[in-house]
Amino acid sequence: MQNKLTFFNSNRAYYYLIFTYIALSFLLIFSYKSIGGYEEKVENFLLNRAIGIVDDTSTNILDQIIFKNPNFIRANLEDKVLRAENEKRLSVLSNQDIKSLYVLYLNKGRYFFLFDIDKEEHTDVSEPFIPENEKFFTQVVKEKKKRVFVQRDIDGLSFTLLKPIVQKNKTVALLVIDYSENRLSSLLRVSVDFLSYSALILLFLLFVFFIYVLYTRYNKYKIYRNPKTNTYNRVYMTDNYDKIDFKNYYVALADIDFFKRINNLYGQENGDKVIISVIKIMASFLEKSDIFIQYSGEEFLMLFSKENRTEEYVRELLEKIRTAVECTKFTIDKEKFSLTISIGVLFHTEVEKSLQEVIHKADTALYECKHNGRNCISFFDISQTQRLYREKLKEMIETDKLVCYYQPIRDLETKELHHYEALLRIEDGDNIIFPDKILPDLEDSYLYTYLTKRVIEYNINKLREDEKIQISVNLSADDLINDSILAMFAQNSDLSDRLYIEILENKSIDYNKVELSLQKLKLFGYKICIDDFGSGYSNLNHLLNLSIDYLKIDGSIIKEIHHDKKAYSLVKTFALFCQQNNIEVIAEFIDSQDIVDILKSFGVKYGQGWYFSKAVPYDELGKEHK
Amino acid sequence: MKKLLYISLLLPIFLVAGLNIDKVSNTLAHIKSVKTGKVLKFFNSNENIDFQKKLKLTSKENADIILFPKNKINKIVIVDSYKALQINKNSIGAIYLKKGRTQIIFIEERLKKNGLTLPRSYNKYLLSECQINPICLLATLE
Repeated sequence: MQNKLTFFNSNRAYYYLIFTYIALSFLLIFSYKSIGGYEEKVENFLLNRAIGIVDDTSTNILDQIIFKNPNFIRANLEDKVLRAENEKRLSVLSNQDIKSLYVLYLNKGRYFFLFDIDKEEHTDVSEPFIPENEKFFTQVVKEKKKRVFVQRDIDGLSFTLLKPIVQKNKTVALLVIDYSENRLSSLLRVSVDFLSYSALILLFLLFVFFIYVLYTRYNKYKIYRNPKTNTYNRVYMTDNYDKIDFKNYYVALADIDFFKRINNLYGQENGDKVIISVIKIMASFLEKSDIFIQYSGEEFLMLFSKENRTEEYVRELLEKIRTAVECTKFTIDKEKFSLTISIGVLFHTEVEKSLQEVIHKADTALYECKHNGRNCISFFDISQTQRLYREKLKEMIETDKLVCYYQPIRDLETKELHHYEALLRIEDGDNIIFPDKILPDLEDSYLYTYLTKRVIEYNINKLREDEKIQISVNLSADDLINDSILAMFAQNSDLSDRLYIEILENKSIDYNKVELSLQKLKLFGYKICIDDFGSGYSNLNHLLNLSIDYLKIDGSIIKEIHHDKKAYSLVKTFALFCQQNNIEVIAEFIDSQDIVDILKSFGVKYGQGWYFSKAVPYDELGKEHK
Repeated sequence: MKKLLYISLLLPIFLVAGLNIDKVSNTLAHIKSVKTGKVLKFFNSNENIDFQKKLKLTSKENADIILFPKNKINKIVIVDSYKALQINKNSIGAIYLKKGRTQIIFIEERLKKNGLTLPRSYNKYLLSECQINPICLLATLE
């Protein structure tokens, strides 16, 4: 049922095409048959024109021969002179186009010669004659009407005229005139052939055109759809942005909650199977007039037609969809689990300017849904400033307001610059937005990866412009397992001696996957640093497995180091551990010389913080690094 | 004299040029012996006609029917003109061209006399002795 609905939803045009093909085929067959009829009409017209004079004259001559004599056949058979006289009469009809002219009489269903005007190949009277096209002869005898037919099988003949001689309402004899090949018959054949060939060429061209249309449609069909679910994908939406009349739809954006966990736990292949199952469940609630689009991996756009539907109806429908997914038990490798979805909805699409805006607003509602604990439905409400903020944030990222500020990391002993850490900022006029106001709002959104890529790109450009500067950029564990991000590092591996990669350690990390990515990055020559160590899910054992180069102790521990014994001993232990394992330690949030002194006593090599310098734009950096 | 020579040389070709060989072969192949029901063997005297693929051909001595004999022969024959059919009472039929059409004629009585038969579907090629005799034909005129 769900397949059927999605199929109907997306394949109407394909059905129409097949219907058109069948209709066209019938039309072509009908046309071809009509051409056959037309061909016959043309043929008859030309033949009748050709025999016109002979036909009229022969009627007069036959009248003279019969001369109201009911036994004219017997009379001519018995009287040789009379027969010769009548043959002479008939010979008047002869001309260069006529090859043979003779009269056959009928006896017991057989034809016998009565007259033959051919002098060179004269046939004796009463010689039998077996016609080649017997059906025409029989037809003329029965219908008592003259007939002309084309001779296709006899060499040297073009067509034959059969004229019945009727007495007492019975055909007693036939006048047969064979016409030789002449211009007219050639013209006739050419014209008939021309019509036939034209029809065939037209049929062929129509067929080619149809195949082309079908092929194009089929290619689009393949490009626009997920082959396993038959639902539209994002390519369809991109290509049809202007064609989708979004004002006639209620728009909902749904996302599978914590889907990355499924991918991490069971692998991407199994993750795709789960997505397919979820799509099938969701799409089964849609009707023909609705549109279902797989917007990104686990994000789905649903456009519900407004026709005959109230907002309340769609609310209930969405709740059914949410519940249906929640109640389904998914199975992978005999392990059963449940999933939930969050849905953001925009009802008042009629006031929006573009589909992009509509999707932005549905996404904003979805975001709020996620912040409210997920597995729910949120409806976009324009009065909520938080949503508007998120929308604005997205807009700013997409419109080049993203920049990086740089904070130096120095050798604590010599105070010499080691490298700069690139820190994300968004410049909104005079207002500067910090990462803590940006990243939580983008988490679990496709924009998060987009943002990471922009930051990497920004810093690669800086490294290319300034050949002396060394920079570290921050990546999350999710970024590390993203192929497109890894590809960026691979393409710019010539910068690996000046570009450091800091991995945020504040989230749970699938070390198996991250380890593989880190090995690749190390092969390219990049130096790896674990950031915010001690803040979240830190695991000393993993540090050794990952073969990292630097470890940055979380600022919340460093700033307490001079008055908190636990922080003091923790940093001391970390520093000792790193020294023994050849890992350089960086301390952040250093705001006094006292802290510097303590860190130096532990053997901590590098540090950063306001004590040295705040993060500043690139243009405000000193010439120290140069 | 030369003309006569040419005509006598070319006449056999003219007589058969345009013959529907398939139709002729098909008909001849269906002549059967009433007694044995066997397919008959032919000898073809006219080299201009190639029956090789369609008919069971053999030597003149072994043949059941001689096709288009040039001389008088004491065997069942099929001649190449209507006149010869009328004259030669040994002939069971004639095959020739008339007004561009292939004419195949068999005399019912002569077939019967020689213990030969043709399937019903070939009845249109059967004529009676009377129908090839102008006087008899006149007497039977409807």
